[in-house]
Amino acid sequence: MADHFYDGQLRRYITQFIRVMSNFSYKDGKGNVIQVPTRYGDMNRQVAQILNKNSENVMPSAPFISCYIKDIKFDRPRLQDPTFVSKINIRERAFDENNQEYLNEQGANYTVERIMPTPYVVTFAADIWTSNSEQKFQLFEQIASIFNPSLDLQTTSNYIDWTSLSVLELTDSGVWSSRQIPQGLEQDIDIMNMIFTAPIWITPPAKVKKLGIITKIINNVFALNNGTVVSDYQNLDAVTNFGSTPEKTVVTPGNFDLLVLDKVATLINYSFNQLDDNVDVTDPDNISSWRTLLDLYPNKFIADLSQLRLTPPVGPEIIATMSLDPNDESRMLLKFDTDTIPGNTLIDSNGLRDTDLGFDSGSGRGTVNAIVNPETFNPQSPSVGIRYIILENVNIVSEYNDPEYNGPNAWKNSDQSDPQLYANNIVEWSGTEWITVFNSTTATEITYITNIYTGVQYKWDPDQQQWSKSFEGIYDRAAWRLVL
Amino acid sequence: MQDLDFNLSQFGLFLNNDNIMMYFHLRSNVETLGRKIMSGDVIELPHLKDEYALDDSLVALKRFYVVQDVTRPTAGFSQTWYPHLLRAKCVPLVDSQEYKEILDADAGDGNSLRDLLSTYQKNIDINNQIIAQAEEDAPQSGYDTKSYFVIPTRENGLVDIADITSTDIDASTEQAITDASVVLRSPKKDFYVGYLTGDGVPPNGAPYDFGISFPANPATGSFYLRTDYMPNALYRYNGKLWIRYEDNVRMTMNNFGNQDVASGPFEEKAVRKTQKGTFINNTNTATIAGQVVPERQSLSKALKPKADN
Repeated sequence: MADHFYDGQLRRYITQFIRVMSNFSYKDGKGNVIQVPTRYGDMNRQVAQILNKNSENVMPSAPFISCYIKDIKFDRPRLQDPTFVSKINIRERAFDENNQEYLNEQGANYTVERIMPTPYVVTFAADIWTSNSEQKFQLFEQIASIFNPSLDLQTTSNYIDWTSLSVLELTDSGVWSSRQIPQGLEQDIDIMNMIFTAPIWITPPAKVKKLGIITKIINNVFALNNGTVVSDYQNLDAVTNFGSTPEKTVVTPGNFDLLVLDKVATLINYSFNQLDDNVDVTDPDNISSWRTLLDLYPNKFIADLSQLRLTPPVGPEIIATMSLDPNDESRMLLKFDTDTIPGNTLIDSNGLRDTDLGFDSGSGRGTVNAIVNPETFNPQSPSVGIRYIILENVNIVSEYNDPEYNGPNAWKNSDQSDPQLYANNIVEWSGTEWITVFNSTTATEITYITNIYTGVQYKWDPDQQQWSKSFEGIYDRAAWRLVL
Repeated sequence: MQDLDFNLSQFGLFLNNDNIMMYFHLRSNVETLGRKIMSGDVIELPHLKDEYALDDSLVALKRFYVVQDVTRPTAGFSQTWYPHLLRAKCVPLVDSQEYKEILDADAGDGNSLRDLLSTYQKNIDINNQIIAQAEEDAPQSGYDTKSYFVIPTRENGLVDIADITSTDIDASTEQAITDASVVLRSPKKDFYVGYLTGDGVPPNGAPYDFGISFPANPATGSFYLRTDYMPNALYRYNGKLWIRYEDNVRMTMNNFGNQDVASGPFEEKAVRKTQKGTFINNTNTATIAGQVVPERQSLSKALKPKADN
């Protein structure tokens, strides 16, 4: 058995029909204007007896308008796709239960799914009992003049009820008088019958769900070189390599770029004219308040629980929880999940990576002790195994092979020889000499190293030929998302 | 005496074939009434009084019949062939305008006979309850969107807020009672649009003023309802111009005229003012050539000469 549901839909139609037929009146010979009662016609016998006070002596009153449903039929010409589901997104205003009033703030949000209702044509009848012809003329003139040919018939004022509106049309199949003319022996009561039709919908319940809006659309577009039908038909590659050069279309609200710096995320206004790397974030015109985004999803953002997910060019997403800076709503404070940050690349004292054969796990490290400028930093008496990233060349000069050449004292080996160290190299003190464990001039792989002096991880990008913070920087529009 | 059954019709209960024949002495009848009894005369039958009706007032309900036809019965002729009797065919009385004076008469306890015997008032009460329910279901034509929230958005779909980058004075900023650094602006357009959704009230419960001319120095985003337009038009100030936001096109679907709202359960409710309604529910007057004339006139009598008295 199906679960019971009932919404009183036909009841509302008949209620509104009676409303339309109400408040008509007649004027008697002395000028009194008297309202004609209108009521539902198909009455229960017990109710009728109670209304009659259970007495034969109670008298009915005339004139009287009685309304009822005469017929209802399935309306096949109005049949539409029965499987169609319409979705509508509704945001309510917040409601103050104490004062029983709506507030100026956003409240609950819903997505309402409505399935295609079933079309019917309902025929209403209005029987008008009058005690004389003058009453009938008066009532007919009032009723007939407002139907030209129809009136709106609306059962609810609920915005999401797409079945609520119909039209009530006065058709021509009514009966002017129930009496025989001439009347003969009997004096029956005189009933005028008016017939109305209304196209209506009978609908099952809706689904009311939490508001769900598509906020990011990723659409793979497969590009293929132009060709002719014939050549593509004969070209196997057209099939096997179809989509070999995929492009991706990403739609995001606001088209914001994201600047992640020092555990703070800032929304960067997108502009076709600006270079991503050249944004002045101190200019208010270039940044936006996080409220412009978060208010699209009211009551979803929870400080320290909602996540920001960054998609680096290589590797899995980096996840951080967010909290809005209470003093500046353009700043989102981040706490990174360290498990999602890329792992450091282990390099041993021989310069071998953990993926290389012969890697010495005993001396392998993914960290450096500091990043130093060798022109201003003196390692003095370094401990064995200490590692630095150096920012400038050491002893990379044309006079290096000159026997008279004497390099900087701070960077001499134990035997007073001068090591040649390139900028961006990672160098390690072996106890007797400086050795290069990472050579920036020959490195071809992405390398992650953490500076344990500051705790910041850096990435060597062979394309850029420079060290940069591993995941901080500007993420473009498609490379970040919020999980609220 | 006869056995009768109730007939339940669309108008309520009727006694089926409740016709009774009553015989009157002709001369006595004329001496009493001054004429013969005739069709339309109403007769009270005291012996059919009902003391046990369902009635809170505990009043016995009287029985009334109305004469439908009067003839000379065959049994009323004497040996001289002169008639002495009248035969009246009587049917139950109905509360209609023909018997208004009888039913308006005092029943003795301050109530009229209509109050005690007629179903009229009960039917009117039922009718009013149905109208009240219909009004509860659909108070006005169109759709109510007052309880919905409209997020103000910019061209790119983002939330339109007034923050530190804003340079103009915003209505919602002025109205903000908190010291929040960011407040929503008023929406530039309504999100919930459809057939008859305009109600002349700003979205999100925003404050507004009304009148027949726009105020000077309005704040950006403020609303103003022009009541000199029909239907009333709601405008929003965008910083440079007053932009029409919506018209108040929703109105009552009750079939009320002016007499319906003058008193009673629907006192002070709105009169139906559709286009056609303004022709019917029209109490306006016009002074034309020094004479006050009602706007509403029957088409057959309009502009005809009228008596001065």
